[in-house]
Amino acid sequence: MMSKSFKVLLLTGLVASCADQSETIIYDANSASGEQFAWPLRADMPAPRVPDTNPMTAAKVELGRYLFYDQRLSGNGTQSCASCHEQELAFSDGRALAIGSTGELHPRNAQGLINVAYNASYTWANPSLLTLEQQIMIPLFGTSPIEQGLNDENLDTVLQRLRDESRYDPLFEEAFASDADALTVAQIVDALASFVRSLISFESPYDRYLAGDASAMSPAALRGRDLFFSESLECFHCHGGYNFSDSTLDRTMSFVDRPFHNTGLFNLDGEGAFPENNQGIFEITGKPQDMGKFRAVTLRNIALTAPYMHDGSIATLDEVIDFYAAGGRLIENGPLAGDGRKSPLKDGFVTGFSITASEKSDLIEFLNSLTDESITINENFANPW
Amino acid sequence: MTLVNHRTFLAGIGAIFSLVLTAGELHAHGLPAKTKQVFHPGLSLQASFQASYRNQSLVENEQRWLLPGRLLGGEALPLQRGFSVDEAFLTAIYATDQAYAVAKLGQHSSEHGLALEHVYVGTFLTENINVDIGKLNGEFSPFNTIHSSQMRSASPLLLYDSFFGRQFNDDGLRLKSSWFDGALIVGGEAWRGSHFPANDSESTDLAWDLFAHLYVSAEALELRGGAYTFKAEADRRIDDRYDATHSHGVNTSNIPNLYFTGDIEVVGVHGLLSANLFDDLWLGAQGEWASYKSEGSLRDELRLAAYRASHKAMWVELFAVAGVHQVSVRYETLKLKNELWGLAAATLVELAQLDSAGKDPYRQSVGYGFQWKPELLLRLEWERHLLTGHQQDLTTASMVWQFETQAK
Repeated sequence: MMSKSFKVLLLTGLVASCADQSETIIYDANSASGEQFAWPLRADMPAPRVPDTNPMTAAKVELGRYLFYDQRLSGNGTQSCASCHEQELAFSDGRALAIGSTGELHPRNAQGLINVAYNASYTWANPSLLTLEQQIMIPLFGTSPIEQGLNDENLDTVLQRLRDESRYDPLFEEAFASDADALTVAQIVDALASFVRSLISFESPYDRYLAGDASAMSPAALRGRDLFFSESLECFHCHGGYNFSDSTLDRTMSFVDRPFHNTGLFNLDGEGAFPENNQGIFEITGKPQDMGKFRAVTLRNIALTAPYMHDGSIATLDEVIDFYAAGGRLIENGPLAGDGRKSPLKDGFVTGFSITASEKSDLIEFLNSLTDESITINENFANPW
Repeated sequence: MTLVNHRTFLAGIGAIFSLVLTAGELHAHGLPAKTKQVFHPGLSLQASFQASYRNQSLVENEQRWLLPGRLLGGEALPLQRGFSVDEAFLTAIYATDQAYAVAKLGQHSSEHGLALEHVYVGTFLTENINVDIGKLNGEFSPFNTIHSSQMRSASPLLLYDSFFGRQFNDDGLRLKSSWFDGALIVGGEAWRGSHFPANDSESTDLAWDLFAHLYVSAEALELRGGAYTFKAEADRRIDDRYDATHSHGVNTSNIPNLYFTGDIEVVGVHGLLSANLFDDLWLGAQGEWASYKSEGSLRDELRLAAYRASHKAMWVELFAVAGVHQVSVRYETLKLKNELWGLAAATLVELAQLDSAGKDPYRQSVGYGFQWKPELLLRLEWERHLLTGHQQDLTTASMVWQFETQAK
């Protein structure tokens, strides 16, 4: 009787311990998109989001590279995407404000394009522009301001220019073999978006340091890193994460908590007003509290993308640090006069801080360590013409 | 999707009823919990104290204990190397013929201060039905109501660490009824749902459980058993073991905020069988099996994934008591199956350490106890466990002091 009872209990234990086995099953893993594109990413990096309607292919990326550098893709044949997005400047243009194909001055600074595939939204301040495919229509067809200047009147002419280029035939054929029509606007947009989405870089000295190369960053840069991630400077709250921007969205993520910020650049009326042609997402939402809110850009390759801010109004990183140390900008005279430091709409993390000259130098060293020089010579990104 | 598998629970209850029908007189040995609520009028006091020396820490100081494959919470904290006061409890019971009040002041570890573990009042609605209300320990299983000072091992049960945050204790109401002169207890408990695996949230429903306990003996044999089902909801539940005010030496600023939201159901059966072979020689076995199922979502500040857990826990202990000597062998194990859906699943699995890498967590131990004095038990035990992803051996020497004054 007794031995039987023990046997039953022991048997129960054995059965329980032998049946099944602990396991964790992940469905729809990061790499399970079915796409045929080799992202230049380390194994631990999440891939960017890609619209289902435009899966990445190497053929589309290559076609997009040709289109990106082709001035014929503008109304008057004088401007390509690359005119405002130069490879050696991390695909920014070095100007305070961009200039369109007709000479019209853009109210905003041309952003760098490296890693824009990870942007939660596009342009400086438009929460409704969620894909590169949507965004690319703006420089192509936008009228306020005119950038590449395509419109109904010149579109056929522009497309014909491209059809006349023999090198496009095999490129379009390979990229869109299953499409009935060749060389359409939709194909151009998809190819351009694919190329821009492929402009990815995580090979800066900072990345190499994280990967184990202790010599990749100087002692000054490491001191600057500690300052950057400190609660006293607060930089990382808006420029944190692997892409150094809190407006980052990859395919593992579902939310962006705080994608837009008012940094206190302007305060025209004491209520936080910005200049009329540049009021951030307020222009889209109409909400008073959104006045002056812009996307926090990535700080990767920031040393290459001067001048800074949405209006290019700050020339150097040194001045940018001074601006944040002051907790905003005081403009004493002129039509833009106002004390941004006292803006009631200013982000809570822009409170100002004290920093010594030595610390500022260290911080700039750290920001310089975010520059991936290889992007300026990467042949996959270069002008093919 | 229905999480409930009631068949196990119903089968357990069926077995209990069939055994009760053949039950003989009551007899007490083994588990300290009484099946029938009996309080003597007047004031009674119970005290227990456990101090231990361990030659290993489960995790090093300032590190969190993460059990690969399982989200933990409650008071499931790691035991540390060196001397420690594991438990100290003082229970006061004041009873009249019709009602009683119970308060238990306790300390769960060296790092915790004293706190009221439970405080409740109860009354007999009829001779066989009583109701308790207040802060209670769940009585769905007798092993939820006792501490390791009342067991043969100084290590808390892995099942309770994993499924109930060491011990389920919450504000609630209990109604139970005894049958066959206490041979069968059936009852139910309704909880505010503020303790792991639930959490304090206004958007969740009450937690509740149903249970049945059996206690029969015949001549030299004693049998106890029972079954239970427990349901709860969690809403953005974090690992509440470590927060800024309750960090246990861990740097909480590095802990990712991970939230579980969803339904939880636990179904379990437990039993004890012991036999008096000779005058002072008892042999016995006790154990428990439980299934934990949850379905909901796991998220952090930016990511979200659907999450389903199907976990099983089992422990079995063989013991022999000969006069002042006792030896025991215990084996505990978990089967942790997790399924996650969504693009963020891989990232969240990594952050939560939800991948058990195909390894079943386990703990196996051998212990010897010497009842030096009626109130004083000395224990020495050796265990091998896999509770952090790698196997570890642990030797524990512990002393348990227990004292009770009975109301006259």
